Amino acid sequence: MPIAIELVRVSKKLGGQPVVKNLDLKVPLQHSLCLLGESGCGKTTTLRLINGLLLADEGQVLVEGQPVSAANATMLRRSMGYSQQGSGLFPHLTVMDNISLIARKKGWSGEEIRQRSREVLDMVQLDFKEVSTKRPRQLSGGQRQRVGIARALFLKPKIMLMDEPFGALDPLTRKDVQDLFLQLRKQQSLTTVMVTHDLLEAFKMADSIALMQGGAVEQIGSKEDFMNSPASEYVERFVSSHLEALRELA
Amino acid sequence: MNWLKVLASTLILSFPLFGTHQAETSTSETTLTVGSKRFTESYILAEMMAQLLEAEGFRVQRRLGLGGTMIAFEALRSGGLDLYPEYTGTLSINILRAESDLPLEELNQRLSDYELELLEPFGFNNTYAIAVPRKLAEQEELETIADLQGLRWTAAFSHEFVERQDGWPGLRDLYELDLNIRPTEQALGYQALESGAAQVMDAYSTDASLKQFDLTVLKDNESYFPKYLAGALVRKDLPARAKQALSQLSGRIDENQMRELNTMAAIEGLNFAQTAAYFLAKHDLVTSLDGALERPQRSQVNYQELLRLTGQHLVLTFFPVFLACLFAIPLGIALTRKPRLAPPVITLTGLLQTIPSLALLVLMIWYYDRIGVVPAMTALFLYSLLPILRNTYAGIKNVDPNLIESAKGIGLYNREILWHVEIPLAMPIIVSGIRTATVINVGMATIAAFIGAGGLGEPIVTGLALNDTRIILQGAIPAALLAIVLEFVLERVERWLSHRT
Repeated sequence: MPIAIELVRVSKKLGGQPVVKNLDLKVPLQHSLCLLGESGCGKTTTLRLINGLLLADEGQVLVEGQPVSAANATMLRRSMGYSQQGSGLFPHLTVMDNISLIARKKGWSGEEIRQRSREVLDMVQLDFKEVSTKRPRQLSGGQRQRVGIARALFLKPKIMLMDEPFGALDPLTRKDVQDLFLQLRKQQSLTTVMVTHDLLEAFKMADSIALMQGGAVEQIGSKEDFMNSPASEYVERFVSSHLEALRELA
Repeated sequence: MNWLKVLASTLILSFPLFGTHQAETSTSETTLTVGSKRFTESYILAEMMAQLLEAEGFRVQRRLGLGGTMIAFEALRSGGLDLYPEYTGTLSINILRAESDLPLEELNQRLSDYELELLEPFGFNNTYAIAVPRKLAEQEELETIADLQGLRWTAAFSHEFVERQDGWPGLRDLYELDLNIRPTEQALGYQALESGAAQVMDAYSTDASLKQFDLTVLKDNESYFPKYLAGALVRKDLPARAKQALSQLSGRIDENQMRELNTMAAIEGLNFAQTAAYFLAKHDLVTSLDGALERPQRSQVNYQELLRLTGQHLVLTFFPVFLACLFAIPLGIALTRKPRLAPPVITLTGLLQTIPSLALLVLMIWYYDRIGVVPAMTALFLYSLLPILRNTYAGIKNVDPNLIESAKGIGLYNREILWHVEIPLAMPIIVSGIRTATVINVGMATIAAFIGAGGLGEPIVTGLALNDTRIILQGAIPAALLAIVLEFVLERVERWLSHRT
């Protein structure tokens, strides 16, 4: 498989503190990678380095073979879908204006926008007539997150970046939206990079998982790799603490 | 970049407005601008001069009720006025900083530095006066201040008079008096004498109230008090024909007459123009003033005039707020981009707001060298800056950082984030700042009348001079209603905007 995203010896300091250290990472096309770890491990910074919200101090970030720079970062972000915790919808815009904002900036016609709005809302299983003229605060949390995904899919991206996308949802809604996204991912052949702190979510959503600690990857591999052959004591502790919590509840 | 162009051209278009005003007020040769300060006597004297000049064929613009000696004098010096009534004592002591009142010749010598000239005074001397009830004066056979020697009477002297070196302390030493001093607001002194709580008070020698309360002024035989002879203070370049016309008033008004005129305006409630016309006709100074000789009637509320003043007031309120928006909103946004500059800049506009309004008006007169609408609007503009700037800055700063992150994440450029996310979300707070500025300005604009800019302050200033609540309320009630209505409307706009977010 060709490589969609590649990080080569990337380092980044924020406020003088090293946050990402000498990181190497490859995401093949149509692959789904989860960046997993506790808060402060560098996973969100890594995501921001990929979409150019941060630029690497050292090393190189390549998206579809192109180095990310200050000059092309915004254009690059337009070509990638982006979804974040709490949906990140603009409260003063209707659902349709929210999802089509970039398309309007790119000069799409009203008819094209209506057409595509129907399509993407349909994809996330929302009724165009019912929601398109509503404002975000008139929707439920799950509906908002679906609209957020619809917005990310509007311009038919090949790559989708997600920052704790299901973080603010109640468990039942969360499962629904996760299942919906898994289905969409296949259907749209998306390459995804998702940030989460939840091991079980990572197991469910990802082809491979990169567990980060102190700005570096502790282990990268599949669910089975993590269960059967943890690369370090930290990985073992991280995995077992999640599983123990589950067992105690059961 | 389109909005930048719009902004720039609006600013450029709005400033020439100032320019056209200037042309209107200062170039026309046959128009003379007459000013007055804001007390009854000054209004009446200015009206007399204005009417004499009109009778002589000049066009006269009236800028009456200016906020104080400094404002009137600066306006005259800068050419915003051509003449106004002033007093020898005020010119000598307050303006030329002399020890006491100067003789007319010396006064004019020193005034020529300013290109000004005081014409031969009208005759009366409006100085401090020591007054006692007429009955008491007759009973005790009092004629001069010296006759108070040995009397242990209670004196209701004004606070200022008790403190001033040229007030009570010097008077006591010179005349060897031994009065029982009770510092009292001057307006209340009259009541104190009427009720018998006090027997002596200080007043101004041409006060209408002296007549109303039937008081006798004791003679100042030793010439202790400086002379406050009123006269026409004019620019040296005033046309000779105008000076000629004005000189008809020289030596024509004595203290009794001035007191009577003050009484007509302040107590009988006639307007200044009628009062002045009455005097001029009575003394044959103007001909063909039909009916002026009959004592005119008490003036009524003029609703058309009130409507005109309200219109002026709205312009005085809104135009500065509009300009302040054009200036402060972009500046507030720029400061969110350079947050280190924000505290000093916001503090600076805050300092502007602490300048007392009259002081700011005087500064503006210096700056523009003229009085009227332009300096008033500039002052109101400066007062409007802080609430709009501060709220714009706070509003943009308060936008949820997650939404900015989201906007960046989906690929909006910074410019687009500003227009599509930050400004709309900050709008309720910005409008709240505009609301504050507008409501403050409705109140502040009333003081614009001090520098002849019109508006609802005009009846307030006139009413204050006449001590006539009825006239004050003609300005104060519409101004208060205006503030309430604007507050209500803008609050609705603000709520409607924040409802959308």
